[in-house]
Amino acid sequence: MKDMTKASNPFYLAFFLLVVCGVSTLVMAYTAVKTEEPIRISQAKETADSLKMILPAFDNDPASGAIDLTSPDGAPVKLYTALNGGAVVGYAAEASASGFGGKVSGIVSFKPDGTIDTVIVKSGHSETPGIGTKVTDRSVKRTISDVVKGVKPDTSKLPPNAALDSYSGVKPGDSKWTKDKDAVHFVSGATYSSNAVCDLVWYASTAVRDYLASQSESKEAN
Amino acid sequence: MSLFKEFTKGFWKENPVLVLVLGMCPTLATSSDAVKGLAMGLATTFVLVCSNLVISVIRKLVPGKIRIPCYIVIIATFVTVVKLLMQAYAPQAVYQALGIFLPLIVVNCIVLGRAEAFASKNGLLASAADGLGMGLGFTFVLVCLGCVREFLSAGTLFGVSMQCWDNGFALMGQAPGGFILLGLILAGMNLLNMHKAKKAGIKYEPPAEFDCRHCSICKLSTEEPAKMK
Repeated sequence: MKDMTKASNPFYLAFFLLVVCGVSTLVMAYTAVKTEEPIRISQAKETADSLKMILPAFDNDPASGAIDLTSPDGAPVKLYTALNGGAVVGYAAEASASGFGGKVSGIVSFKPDGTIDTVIVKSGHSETPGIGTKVTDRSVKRTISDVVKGVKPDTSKLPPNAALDSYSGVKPGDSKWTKDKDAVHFVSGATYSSNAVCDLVWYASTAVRDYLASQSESKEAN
Repeated sequence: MSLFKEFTKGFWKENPVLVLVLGMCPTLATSSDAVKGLAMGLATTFVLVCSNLVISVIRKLVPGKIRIPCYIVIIATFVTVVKLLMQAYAPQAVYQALGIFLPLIVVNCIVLGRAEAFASKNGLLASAADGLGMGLGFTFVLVCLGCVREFLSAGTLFGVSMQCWDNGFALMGQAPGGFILLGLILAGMNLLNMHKAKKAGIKYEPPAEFDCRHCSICKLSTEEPAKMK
């Protein structure tokens, strides 16, 4: 005789699994609803902190007026405009490129004429510690003697990084820098990370260059 | 076994990484620095404790034939919860650095292994103690490996420069370096155990119940877990 006890009845098994899945869905949905706002705040705070670090003083909310652009290479770029008293004081463009350990995202700030000001790589990338991070990190260097002496790290200015700082003051198309043939700082042994930073700065700066050109064209037309 | 022993066995005697040799993928991937290792370890501990608790509560209700899908759904739920909580409240740098390895806790054999080998056969408190001990044992190993690898590759510990090593031993920052280091630690543990056994006048053999033979996941049996040997 076919065994149709509760434990082997396929309808009961399906029903039990359905109940487990239903309860799990409820738990996940409740957590998702409860964390939706904190996640949005946390992400907005990270972008706002980054923009404050690399842009001159501004009185608007650049994140709320962000524009989605596409670089000539087809990479998506997000553009933030910083205003002070109604006048543009700078731009910041967010882009990403493939590094050694995955995607490397960064924000590049520009002077109103489109010249690169500062480059920062957003936190959380997976570049190799000690090698790739030499290209990407602007972390405040703390030493064991600082910790012992109780010296607090200086957070008033952006920590230097030779690779990222080498982009300051250049424009795409300058004789100083063209993609793949450049005068920017590459770190030996970290070719992938250096290329990723070079690519993302290129995407951001070419998108901003084209955006500024289209803006001046439309002004002239008016 | 007392609750205290259930808790402490995860640190050394039945350490999930050093003795059971489980969870190698997250171990090698997230122990490249100490902070990442600590975050991964704590996230796994949360999932271990919560899933062990729930599975222990429903162990007598779950039909044997569908226990593995049920356990996976429960584990996946807690992994989703911990992922959302970390995204909301942990530093973004830590959350993003863990990347894909955070959702992959679902398939971490330590979590499913403890659910099947322990929580499905034991009471609430013992399962919670087992989950906490195993989770903290896993965290301990990840942090130790992370400290050594971070120091050798970048000369820092938890991001603080130690000012005594600046040679950039790049291999240690990558997965092969982690494998080599873990192999050396396991060899050291075997040597220690063999030395202890020699002193006691016996031949050292790793206990059979510590490898995958004790686990009933692979047995395509329809028996209830409690009835299995």
